[in-house]
Amino acid sequence: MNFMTNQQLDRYIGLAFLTLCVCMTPYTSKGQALEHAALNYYKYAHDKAEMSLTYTYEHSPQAVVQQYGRGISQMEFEVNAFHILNKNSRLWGEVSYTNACTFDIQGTENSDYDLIYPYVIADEVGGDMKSEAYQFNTGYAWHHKRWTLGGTLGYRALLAYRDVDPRPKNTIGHLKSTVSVAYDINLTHLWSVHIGGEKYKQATGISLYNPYKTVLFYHDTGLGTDYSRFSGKGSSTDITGQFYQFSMAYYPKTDNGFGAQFDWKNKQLQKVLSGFNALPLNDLRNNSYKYIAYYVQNNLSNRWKIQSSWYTANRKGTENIFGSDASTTYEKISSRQYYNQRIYAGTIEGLYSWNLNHKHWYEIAPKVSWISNEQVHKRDHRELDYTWLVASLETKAHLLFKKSTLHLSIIGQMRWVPRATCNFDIQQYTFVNKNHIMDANHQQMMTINVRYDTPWLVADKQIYVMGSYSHGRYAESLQTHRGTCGLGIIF
Amino acid sequence: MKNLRDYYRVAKTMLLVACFGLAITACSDDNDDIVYSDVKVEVQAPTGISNIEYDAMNITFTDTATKETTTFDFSALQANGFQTKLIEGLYDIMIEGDATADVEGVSKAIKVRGDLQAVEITANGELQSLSIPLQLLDVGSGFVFAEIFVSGTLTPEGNSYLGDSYFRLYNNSDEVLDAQGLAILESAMQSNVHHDFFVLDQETDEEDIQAGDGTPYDTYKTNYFITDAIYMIPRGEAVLVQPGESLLLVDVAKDHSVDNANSFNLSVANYEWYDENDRYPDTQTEVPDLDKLYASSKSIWIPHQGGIKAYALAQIPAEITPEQFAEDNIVNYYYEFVYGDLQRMMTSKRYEIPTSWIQDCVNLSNQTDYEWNEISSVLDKSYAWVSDGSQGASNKGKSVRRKVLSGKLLLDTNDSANDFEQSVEANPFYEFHD
Repeated sequence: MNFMTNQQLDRYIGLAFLTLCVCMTPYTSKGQALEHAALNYYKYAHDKAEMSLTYTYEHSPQAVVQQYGRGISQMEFEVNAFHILNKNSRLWGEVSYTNACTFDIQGTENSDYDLIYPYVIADEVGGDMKSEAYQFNTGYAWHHKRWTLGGTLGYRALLAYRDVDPRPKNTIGHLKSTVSVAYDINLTHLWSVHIGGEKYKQATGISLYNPYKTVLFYHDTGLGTDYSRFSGKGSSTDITGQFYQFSMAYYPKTDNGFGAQFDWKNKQLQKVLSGFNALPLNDLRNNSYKYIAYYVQNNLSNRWKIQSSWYTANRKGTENIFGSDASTTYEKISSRQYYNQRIYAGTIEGLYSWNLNHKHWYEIAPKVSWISNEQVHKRDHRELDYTWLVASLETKAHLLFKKSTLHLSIIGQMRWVPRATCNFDIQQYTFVNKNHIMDANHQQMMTINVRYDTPWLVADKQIYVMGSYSHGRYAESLQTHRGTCGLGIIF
Repeated sequence: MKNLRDYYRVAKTMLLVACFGLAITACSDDNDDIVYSDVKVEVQAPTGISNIEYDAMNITFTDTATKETTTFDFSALQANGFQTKLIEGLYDIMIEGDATADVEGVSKAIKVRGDLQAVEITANGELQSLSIPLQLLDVGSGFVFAEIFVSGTLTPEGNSYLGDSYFRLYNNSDEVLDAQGLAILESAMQSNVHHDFFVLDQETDEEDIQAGDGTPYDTYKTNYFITDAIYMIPRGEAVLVQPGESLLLVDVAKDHSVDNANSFNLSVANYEWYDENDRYPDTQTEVPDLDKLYASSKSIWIPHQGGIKAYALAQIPAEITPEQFAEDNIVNYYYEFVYGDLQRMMTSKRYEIPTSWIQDCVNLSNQTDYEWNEISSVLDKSYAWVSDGSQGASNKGKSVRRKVLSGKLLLDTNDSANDFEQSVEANPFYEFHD
């Protein structure tokens, strides 16, 4: 039966979710649950491999988040595979190459804004940013009796640059590895423990080819503040980091019964002015926790699931204080933990899917999230608080024809803002204010995803085509349109 | 019954996961307090006066990391000094205000000012005491800089153009003044590069210098100004300047607008500085030359185009000849350079003049590069700027111009951030009054 595999479904759902997330502010991200490599052993019953080429385009009149730009033109090539080596071993991997141009990024010359904010270099010029990213991930799981061991290794390399002044050049290297072990406690459930570590580095240098162009660079420190002493200096920076993660999961391996998971992530980053004797300007520490509990029932004709989750994150930023430069070296004399962000998010979601004649499969998934996002910069006692209520409804249909399959999903999302408070004059900080206008007002989003696994074969390989369209409505009558189209081969 | 046991077991499992998570959460560091330090400031009265009574005094703390300033009323200081709490950090501290004192036996109103720069305030649980020496502030009338233009211009094609720098000196008094013997000086130090300088009694090989030898520059600068260029209006004939009138001192006194439409006709200048040398010939014009007392440049002197030096207007005493000046006013100083394991004494040899000769002084810097005040705060407690620190040529064609106080009187409080219009379009013929 040419029915969609779980992996295909996950990718399909993932694409839809990604499309949705990219259009939201960074603060609405509640963190994805960590993936235990050992549990991948149980995930698929057969080999699979896919190769795809997708193109995404959006060019909006203004940005929802200034640091994300006003849209993107992106080509992505990806190959992923899952292979059952033998009864006890599974191997999987993914390789991708992305070539993109993000339009009119403002408020940061760094990349990976989500990860490193608020400590970015910014100027008042900004502009389009081109990027090339290479990503490689592989994993292996080995099963013996009631134990399963798993591990993953991944590396991401990104080069982002602008070819007009000011010309930032960001080079990112990001190494990730995880290890997990699962124990089969009975016929239905597994216990799994997962640990991971990551090394991160982003080297940034900004140059001006036109000696008469004037650009002033700021080292932002959050909520419109900047490190004044080093404004205009040190446009060469290194951001280095170590990330750690731990997770425990109680996992229903037959996709029936209760499940639970606890995730902890710790990210420690340091921003260094490389031209100032490697002066460590800022430290950033981000701790996040996620608790998930769910109950799932699955049989041949229908599947339902109810899940609750709680996510909390605390981002603390420290500005290091240095003594006089009179001896040509800056000695650190103190530090000030000025920036603090706390995010709390509670989510309840449900899912019901049913199967008609083992050919057509329909799904409906409602979801409600309550999100609190509080930011404080203690220097001027600045506070910026939001509470968002997000409701979404996703409907899917998977229609199996004689030699082809059609997958269709529609996601509608509303975000209300019960509370948005700001205790400082935000209007004098252009980028902060523009983001605030979007964050403090309601948002609506609709996404349609289509994938058609065609009956056409090339060298006995099945071809699929896919498309996605997202429409967002924001404050100031802003409407965004994002489209993705793609072509893939199933091996 | 079995189902019930299963649910109970599942509930226990989930509770265990939740407790584990909460335990880790509880370990997270919530210690995010900002550290304060107790600071006490006392002042030392200016030398040469007695029976000082402070009237309206202010103390300002500038946090160098954030450039934030906090000002307190310091009037009731004389008994116990001033005490406050400061966040740990690096501060510049400035005290100034009014007082009455006996000066040469006569009770009179005076202005005083004093400062400490780059003071590290750290919290060690003890009261940190600071003592600031005050100096008499002389903001009287006389010659002042009305406009300083050092950054050069751009040609219409966008190329850099040199030779059109100028200083406009202005009689800010109500009487006719004679400008002969008046000299313009450029500071040897830069406001954007801070070193712990020490001044030596005599020229010393760097190998023979021990760190800390000599007089700390912060102490020395209250009485002296170290310069790397001095050009003086020639003596011999009175150069009378009416109140509200000015003299234009320029680099090359020609009509620069012929070569560069964005420049000026400086052929009508009163003086030019001319450097006779065989390395990089200067352009001689018919406009009288200033007398060159000293310039560190082996060829021609070009005022620092970055606008990051201080400029002084000094009256050279009539009895001092150029030869005597060159003989008596040499100064040797050094700072300790440290970079990793590399350490050496960086020595310099320049010329000094007493601050008592200085009639006016303007410190220049730019908004983001300013690191320290390389001159006495009594001469200028702040700085004027032609560039906001933007990378590029934002300062080209820009000057600093003194504000008009009223009528023919220009504002002069020895506080250039307040006294000058910053980064204005340069105009050597600007009309300050009708």
